[in-house]
Formats: sequence, C-alpha cells, structure tokens
Amino acid sequence: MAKAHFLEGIDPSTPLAAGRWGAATATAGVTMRRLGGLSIASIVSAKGAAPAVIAAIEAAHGLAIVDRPEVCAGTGLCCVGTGPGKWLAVAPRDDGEAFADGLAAAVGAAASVNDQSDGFVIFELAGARIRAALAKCLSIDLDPPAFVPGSAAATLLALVGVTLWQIDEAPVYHLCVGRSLTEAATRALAAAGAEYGFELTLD
Amino acid sequence: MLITCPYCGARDAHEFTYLGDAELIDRPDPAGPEAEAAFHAHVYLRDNPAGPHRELWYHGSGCRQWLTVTRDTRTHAIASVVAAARPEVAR
Amino acid sequence: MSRLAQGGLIDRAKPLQFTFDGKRYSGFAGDTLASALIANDVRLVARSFKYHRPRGIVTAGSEEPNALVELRDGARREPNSRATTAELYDGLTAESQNRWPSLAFDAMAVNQLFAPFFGAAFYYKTFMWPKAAWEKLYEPMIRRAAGLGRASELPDPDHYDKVQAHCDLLVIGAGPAGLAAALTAGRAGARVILVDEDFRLGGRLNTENVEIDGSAGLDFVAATEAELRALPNLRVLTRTTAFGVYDDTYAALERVADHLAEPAPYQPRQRLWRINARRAVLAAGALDRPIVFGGNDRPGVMLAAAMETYVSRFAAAPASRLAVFANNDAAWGSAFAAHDAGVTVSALIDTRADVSPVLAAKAKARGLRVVLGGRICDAHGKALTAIDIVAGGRTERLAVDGLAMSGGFSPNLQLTCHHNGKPVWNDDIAAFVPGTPPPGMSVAGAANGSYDLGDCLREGAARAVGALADLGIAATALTVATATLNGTAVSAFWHVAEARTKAFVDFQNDVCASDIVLAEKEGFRSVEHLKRYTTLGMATDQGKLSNMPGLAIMAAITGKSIPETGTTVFRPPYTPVAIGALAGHHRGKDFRPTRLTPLHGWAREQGAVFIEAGPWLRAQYFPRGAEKTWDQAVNREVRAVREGVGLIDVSTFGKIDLRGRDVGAFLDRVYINTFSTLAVGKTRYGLMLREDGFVMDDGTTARLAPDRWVMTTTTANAAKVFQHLEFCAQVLWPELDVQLTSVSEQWAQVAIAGPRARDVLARVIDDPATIDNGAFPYMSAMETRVMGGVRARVFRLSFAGDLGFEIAVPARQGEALARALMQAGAEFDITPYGLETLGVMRIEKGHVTTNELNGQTTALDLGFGKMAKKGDFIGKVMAGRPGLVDPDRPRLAGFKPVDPNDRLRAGAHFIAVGAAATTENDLGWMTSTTWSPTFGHALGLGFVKGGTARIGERLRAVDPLRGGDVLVEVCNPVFFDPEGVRLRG
Repeated sequence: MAKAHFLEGIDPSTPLAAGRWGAATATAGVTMRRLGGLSIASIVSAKGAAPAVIAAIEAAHGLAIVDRPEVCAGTGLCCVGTGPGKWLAVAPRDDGEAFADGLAAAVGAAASVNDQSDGFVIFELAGARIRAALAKCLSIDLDPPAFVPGSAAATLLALVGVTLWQIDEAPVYHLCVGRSLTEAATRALAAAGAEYGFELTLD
Repeated sequence: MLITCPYCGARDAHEFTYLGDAELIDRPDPAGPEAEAAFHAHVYLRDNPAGPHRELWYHGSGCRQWLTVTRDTRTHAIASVVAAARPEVAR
Repeated sequence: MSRLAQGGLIDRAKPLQFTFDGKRYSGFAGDTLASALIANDVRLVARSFKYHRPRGIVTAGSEEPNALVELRDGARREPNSRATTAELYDGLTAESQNRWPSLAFDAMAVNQLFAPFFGAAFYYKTFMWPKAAWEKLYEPMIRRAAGLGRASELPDPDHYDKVQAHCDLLVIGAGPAGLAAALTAGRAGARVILVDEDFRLGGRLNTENVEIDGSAGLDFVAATEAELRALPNLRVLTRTTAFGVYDDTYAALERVADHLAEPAPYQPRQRLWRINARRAVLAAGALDRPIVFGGNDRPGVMLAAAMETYVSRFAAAPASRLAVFANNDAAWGSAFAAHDAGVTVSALIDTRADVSPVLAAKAKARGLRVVLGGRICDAHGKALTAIDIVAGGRTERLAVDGLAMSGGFSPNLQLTCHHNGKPVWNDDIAAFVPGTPPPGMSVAGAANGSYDLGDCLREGAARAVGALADLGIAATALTVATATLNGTAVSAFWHVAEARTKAFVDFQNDVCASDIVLAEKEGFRSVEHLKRYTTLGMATDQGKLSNMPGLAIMAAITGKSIPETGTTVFRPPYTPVAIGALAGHHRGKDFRPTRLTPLHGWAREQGAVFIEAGPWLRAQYFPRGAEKTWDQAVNREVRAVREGVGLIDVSTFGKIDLRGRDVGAFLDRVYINTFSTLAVGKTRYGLMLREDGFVMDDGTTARLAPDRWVMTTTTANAAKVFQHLEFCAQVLWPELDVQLTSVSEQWAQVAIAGPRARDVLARVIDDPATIDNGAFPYMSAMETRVMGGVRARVFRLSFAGDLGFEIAVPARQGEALARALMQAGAEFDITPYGLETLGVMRIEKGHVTTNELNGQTTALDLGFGKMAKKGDFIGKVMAGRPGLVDPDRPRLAGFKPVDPNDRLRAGAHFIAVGAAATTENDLGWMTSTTWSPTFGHALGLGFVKGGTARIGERLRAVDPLRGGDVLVEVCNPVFFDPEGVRLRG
C-alpha cells in the first residue's frame, strides 16, 4: 500500500540512516549534519550575577558575551544566550568534563556550570531551502532582520525543545537538541525537507 | 496568540504554560494570623474579570522565565509582559 | 457542445479527458470540473440532501451548495468536493453522490412526494419514540437516505505540511482591490503575502469586460502579477483560502497538488499556513445571491454572476436560450456578456419598475426583451424547460433552458466576524457590510460593499497605505486614472410571493420558504433558533447563499427589519479543511515526538519488548528462550533479582542539578521533610506537595558537595517539577541563592538490584573499596569513576527494595556501562529487567507510584505523615485542614487474597465482610495489584479507612464492573523485607 511519506515505513525508534532522503533533486535542498567532537556546557548565573559571569568569561577566554538571545563566537569558544543570565557554551574539543570544569573555575560562585556534552547533540543545518523547511517546524520568524547571523532562539521545533542559532548569511544554522529527542528532531526535518531533497550526515 | 517575552521576543502561546492569577506571586505568611484562611484564599479564591487580568505564564519552551502577563480576557489583547519576580529582587 | 467557439481563459491546445459517473468527457486546461461539465451539456450533477431533487451547478466558486461530487477514486476519493473549484486535470474521475441507483433515476426522489410531511424539524418530531430505536433503526436509515458522499475509509496516501509565515501585510483576495493593496505595499518594501483561493489572480477581472487606464482588465492583471512575482518581499499564494482569523494569526489552506492527478513524489497534497500578520487587508469580494421562487433549484437555474463567469472565463454556455431574473444593475452586465458571446437571451426580467437609461439603452442596442417590474414565480422541468413570468397582472410561460438569477451581492465579510465582529446593515446596497473587524484588519472593495471597479482599486491601495502607516512604513498608493464604470444600483428583493411550487432558500439542506414560515409559527424566530430548527445554513457551504434570503424572509414574516432580525455568527473555517492538513506530519507514530533513552540500542540488542511510557519508549520485559507470554518473562526477571542480580535502565527519571548557598533551605521549603541537615555524600527520599496540601511528586535528592545537589523526579513529572522549582526560585523566594539546571539528558542511569548487586558493581567501579557496606551504607551517594576513568555518580538506593545501586554515567557511556555490568554479572546470571518487573517488585516493597500519587492523596494518606517537619513548606498549611487529617480518610495499606489462588484487581472497593456492597459501606479501594513470584500469590496496595490499623482484618475486595468479589487480608504495605535487612545488607 502506498505510504504517505517515507517516514511512515520507519519506526520512530529506528535511527534514520545517513544519506539522501526524499526528492531526487540534483543537490539536497536541505542538509543536516551531526557535529562531533564538541564540548557543551550550560551556564546558569546566580541572581544578579550575570555581569560577573560576562566579566569572568571575558577574562578567562577573551570573549565578550551578551545577556541576550545571541551567539558570541571567539576562537575555541562560543556562547549562546538561552535565557536571562543563561548560556550554552560550545567548544570544538572532546573533553567535555574538563571544559566544564574550566568554565566553572572561571565563573566561581557567580554561576552553576554543568557539562552537557552528552546531553545535547548539535546539528548543522544548511541548503538552499533550509528556511522553507524550518518554516514547517518552527513558529519563530527566521527572515532578516528578525533573525540574522548571530541571532539565537530557544524554541520548539515540531514539539521538540531546541536551541537554534544562525552562523552566516547563507544561511547556515546550528541546532542543539536534547539527546533523547534527536531522532524526533531528525524525523521532523526529514519530513519538512523531503520535497526539496534531504541529506543527513552522521560523522 | 503571541506573547512578547522580555528575553525572547514575540513567541507563539504554544511555547508557554499558563498557571493562573498573578496573585499566586504573593504567598501568604504561614506563621501569620489566620494563615489557614489566607492560604484558602490564596489557593482557591479567584476573581474572574471580564477585562484586564494579570496572570502568570511560564516560557517553558523558551527561556524558562516566569512572566506576569496582563491580558484582556475579552479580546486576548496583551498590554504588558514582565518578569514575574518581584521588581526589588529581579535581576 | 456548449463550448463557445472563441474566448475564455482556457488553453484549447491542451485538451484534458475526464469521466463523470463513468462517462468520458473532454475539457481544456484552465477549466474547472464544473465548467467542463457545462461545456459538455451535463446539467444534472447532483441530488439534494433530503428530497433527492435533481440539481445543477449554481455558482462558480467555493460557495457552491449543489455540485458536490466524490472526486478521484480509491484511497484518494474525497466526498463533497465542489465541482466549481476542482481544477480539471487529465484523467480526473468524479461521481455524483447521494443518489440510488443512478443520478438520472433516483428511487429516493419519492421523498419529494412526501415533502408535505418532511418539513422543518421533521426528524425531531417523527423519530422521537421509542428512544432505543434511534441508534439501531432511525439513525442508520436516515443516514442512508440523506447522507452525502462516501469517505474512502482507506489510509490517506498523501501527506500534508504545516508552515509558519510572518509578514507586515496579509492581503486576502487578489481581485482589483487585493491586487492594488498588494502592489502598493509590495512597492513600499513591506513584507507582503497575497492569497487567493482561485488558481488565477484577478478575481472579477477574469470575468468582466472592463478597462483600467485604457487597458483591458486582464492586461492589468498580467502586468500586476508580473511585478508582484518579481518582488522579493512579496509572496503570492494561489489556490489558497484564508479560512480563519485567530489571535495574532491567520490560518490559510493551500491546495498544493489538488489540481494534479496525484502529488509529485514528496510533494505535500495541501499546506496549512499559519500566518502571523501585523496587518491584513480583506479583499475577498462579494457573492451573488439567489432569489427565492418556485423551482429555483432546478438544474439550469444559476446565479447571474456565475453564468457570466462560465460564458466569459470558461467559454462555456450554460444554456442556449437564457432568461435573466434580477433586482440589480450588475446582472444586466451578465446578460449583455452572454448575449455578446452568442448566447440567446430571451428575456431580462427585473423586479424594479425603473432602471437607469444607460442600462436600458444598452439592452435596447442589443435587441433584448426587457420586463420591468416583473418576477418569475415558478420554473419547470426536471432540468429547466420553462419559466412563468408574472408582470403587469398577468402570467406568461416562456420556454428557456437556462435562467440566471441575481438578488444582489453580499460582501464576503465572514473573516471580519471571527473575533465576534458584528456586520452592519447597509440599505443602499441591501446587504450587510463589515462592522468591527479583528484588530489589524481593514476591508477593501466589494468585501466592504464598494462594488464600483475604480472604488475597489482606490480602496485597496488606500487600505494598504493606512496599514503600513500604522507600522511606520511609508507607502504611495497605486493611482488609477480611469476604470470602467458599471452600474451598481440594487433594490432589495428576496422572495416571490406568487410561487406555487417549492421555493428553496437553502439548496444544500433543502430548506424552503415554507419551512421558515413553519419555524416562525412554532416560535423559532431568532435567527439562531431558525438555523437549528430548519438546518438553514448548516450544510458544508455554511449558508453562504442561503443566510441572507432566509433571514430576509423571517424579517418579512415577523414585521421586523433585517438588521433587527440579525445574522447568525460566522465562525472558522470559511470553507471545509481536511483534518489531515491540521495534523501535518504529526500523524501515526509521529503524533508526538518519541523519546529514546541512551540505552535504547542496548535494550534492543537484548531483545526487549518496548512500551510507550508517556513520550518515552521503555523496555517492558526481555523475553528469553521459550517464553511465550509476558508474565513468564516477568516471573523469571523478578526471581533473578531477588535471588541474584538484575539491572534496569532508569535514565528517564528527571534529574535536576541544584547549586548555591541556599539549596538546603530551598529544599526544606519544597519538600515536606528536612534536607538542609543532609550530609555531603548522602541521599534522602523526599515528598513534595502542591500548595493545596496534596502530593505532587516524590524522589530522592543527594548532596554531592556543600553547595551542589542533584534531585531525581519521577519520569512522568520531570517537566512539571522543574517548572515548579523554577517558580519557587524565580517568583516565591528570589532572595535564595539557588541555580537550577536540568541534567536529565546528560546522564544515563542504570539501577542494579539483588543480593549480588555489590559484587557486580565492585567489578565495574574503579575503587571497589568505596562501596563496602561500612563505607557506603544505604542512602549514600558519591561522585566516582567506573570502567577505568569514566566519570560516574553512584547512589545506594533501590526502588525494587533490595540491595541496590543506581549508577549514572554521561549518556554516551550508558550502553558501555550496561555491557560492562552484564559482563561483570555473568557469573551471577545477571538479568536485564523491564518496567513490568519493576512494577511487581515495587508493590512487593510497598513503594508508591503514580497509581498512588494520583493528585488526590496526602502525605498522611500515604503513610508519610511523620516525615513532615515543624517548619513551613509548600502545602503545609493546607495539608492541615480538618478534612485532610481526618483519621477516617482512607490510608495506604497492603492486601493479599485469603485464598492464595485468588487474583486481585486494581479498582476493586473494600467492603466489610457481611456488609452490602453499597456506596455507604465503601471503605476504600485497591490502587495497584500484581502476582508476586516471590510470595507465590497476588499482592495489592490500596487505600482503606483506618489504614494499617486494620492489619490482619479481612475485607471483601468487590469489583462489580468485572464481577470480582475476593476475600482479602489487610497487611503491612511493605511485603518484602519489611525490616530492610536486604536493603541495608
């Protein structure tokens, strides 16, 4: 019997395999690449201590971060605003525990730092039709000037809580998803991107 | 319905959880006189105004702030959205 | 063939084949199914709902009440599809509906003969008694006789998208007013979305022969469309119906692939647009209205505007000899268009005694016969063959095969009412016009009651300028110097009193003028009562044609004015919306996101059977060898734990990291028991109440360092507890230094339990000496290393109630930990177990779970009364209410059957032995039951008056629903290891 969509033949508990899905376009209109080798930590400021956290990060890492839904990227560290006095810190290194411990030492009592390198998975989203695909999963406005390189948002992607930030004008986005919900988020994007050609890369 | 979160900006109401009347911010003094009556009022007694209403919403699928939203119950027009923490202690 | 030799917006180079009721026909690209049927002389297309009267095409749009067909076949068959909006494609198949055995000969048409008995509320009055017959007899019978089309009943092979869009200005309708608004706003650089339900932009310009600034209307459309489509800030959505206005959001349905035989691979069939528009201009046009006269439903009678559309846009003549019956100038334009296209117009009958000399001259120039002050009282023929004209006191029969009627126009203002806006009556145009539209919406053109072409263009542009000015965007209105002036005069006329045969008001629901008279007589005078009583306006067209004449007739009978009579409320959706479009991709197993634990792959390798636990998929049990049923596996798993060791994935628990100087004080206020005194390296069970005194959740919290704690919550309440703690920290006690972080996703957690648990852990933990009973007694917690340097947290606790540990490692190490434990435990026959086994063992141990923590139980009910501390905590004051501390409240106890062969059932109520099983004698109820392989008989937990004070007493557990009545003995709820020797060993 005809399936309404290729996903109906794949149980949600079966990981979607890497490769091309959906329409056989010359190039995939939507690409989703799981990024490996990252350390991720959450930073939650004590009350009134956000300025102290900002100063501590600048002193330790030379990165000026802001208490807004924006991503501030330096060499070796980027911080994504996820709430008042809250950030997600991401670094291209695979020793998450030491990364979090270093941040914790830098901010001291001004914030609580937790290693979340195993808790979250970060995907790179790109392709010529990525905005159209994301419009099917998100309710936020991704068009400039509402969302530009450096913008970040903690929001819902097809009922999955995510953090999204924009890397460049192309546009390329990074999407941070809780580990238990990565398949659900992948399925949602695969369904949304199928008509444009969807490519999943799992390094 | 859109709620303009002070941190995140305008967001769909689906991202929020409704709790109720903003009176819930002021928990009675459990050691005060008539504590039981005060808690009874705190837990159960609510006005149901046709018009502007201060109420608590949690931006659970966003920045996780508790917000006080002033909403007109007749039109759903939102007059203001602020952090629910009492201003003297808000960050 | 009624296809005109020339003209029309059809592509004669692209012929398309289609079938209707199995017969093959041909049309052209650009046709609708309706226009192609007309071009093929098919006049009878449907049978009516109640009387099975023959019906033809009445309109050329989504308001069509008659020409509903089953479109396509097999799984894609869609009933009640409007032939007037279905675009023709090659190979289209359609069937008429609501007829038996055939459309031409419908046996059910005998219903007409009984029409005198089938008046308003006939069903209500006739099938009242006996009540039992409704479900079995009357309803199926009525449904068979009166049903509309058949649903396919096969799974929908198509998929649907939901899309979010944001814009400064949404323009609804792409007729002259909408095009002027979109162009004005688009040129100003605003973000604009233009939607139209048609597959062509232009609206009335596709039909009417008009000029704008000296060019043909169609040229204006073409030039405007080209400019709009080139603007990067403007999105054009054709085949898209804006169907509802919600708070800050407009909903629209785009029929992406409904004009194709089937969607292209991976193309959605339809897309639901949720549009957050800061401003909107409604330019949805106006609809022509029928006039109520005898036989006005006969095939061949259609609205004048529709007739003009078929002739001009589709080059399809609905008749060879046409009469026009109207009360307004616009219909004269339709008559002229038909005549000019070569259709014989036999008579133009206008209810008005006088019309403008310009109109009269145009008619005269064409040699048309005009009857002023005339009416048509009755139409004849199965398909129209003749009409009776009443004028000047005499009646004349005229042979025609087509009649174009027009009772004037009604602005399409439905969307202005979706926020409770009330339409306002305008006597000049005999129509309701928009009252107060939803915030941010303005109305332009015919939808606003402005019918003149120049007015439409100017109003559209002006509304766009105004809307953008609100947003601080400067715009210059599109200017139009000249536009064709057509007459717009109208004189209200609704109902031909001289009609001798059935005069229809609502075609789709077969409501006649006489039904309204009856409703009034029986007291159903308010329009809302009239609607429910007669079903006027309740069909799939929602009364788009029938509401106005219906309430005008009611107004006339009651002697009230039309505005005094009022209108019914318009609600979304404007046209029907498929449920599939509302669901989008959230269907089947993707109805909601599925959460997978970090050990899912390992559990699958172990042959787990999974069960949905909220959003989670969790291992239910692990069948082995020849085990055929789940309970065989569970009994083996329980014995394995009790006699050796087992392991279970408990990663789904909520895990909350709490840091700060004041965490202890904070926990004292959210838990009923004291936490501030907890030593570093210890964990404690805690109970949280709601402020009303009832239990919210339970769990354990460990202190890992003086200012670092980690809390576990139940799987089900993880999000709720986090939200509650955020409320306490942000709102109630912001002065406390507490930072909350959810670390649920970071940690995989495995529980091992059973007498051999320590032996297994000792082989996996890097420093086995640290888990000696002396160093690490029951309720200890530590941060440590396992598997050669992997960071871990180990807790000495057990929900299974045996010697046990919970080991947490970073999620990516979870499966490695499970494998290491399996290997380390191989010699003890370590056994993976699932939720079912955990459920058995927790009852054996008397541990409460959601069955007992059901939102209606207190700490006292659960036997935790002594845990409550003296100081304040959430829920303390209210938990002390007399009703909640009443010793007679049912309290937790254990139960076992006196006859060990009896089974117990949750939901059974306790009754004293010898007492009648009545509500008055009810002593409590069973909440959880299991068969215990450890004890060899059933066990239960439940709430009973007196609780454990009744230990040893015998009661009946009565389950009248399932016929159970079992003698039980009240026990200590902790059946297994009541002294905690195993737990602490």
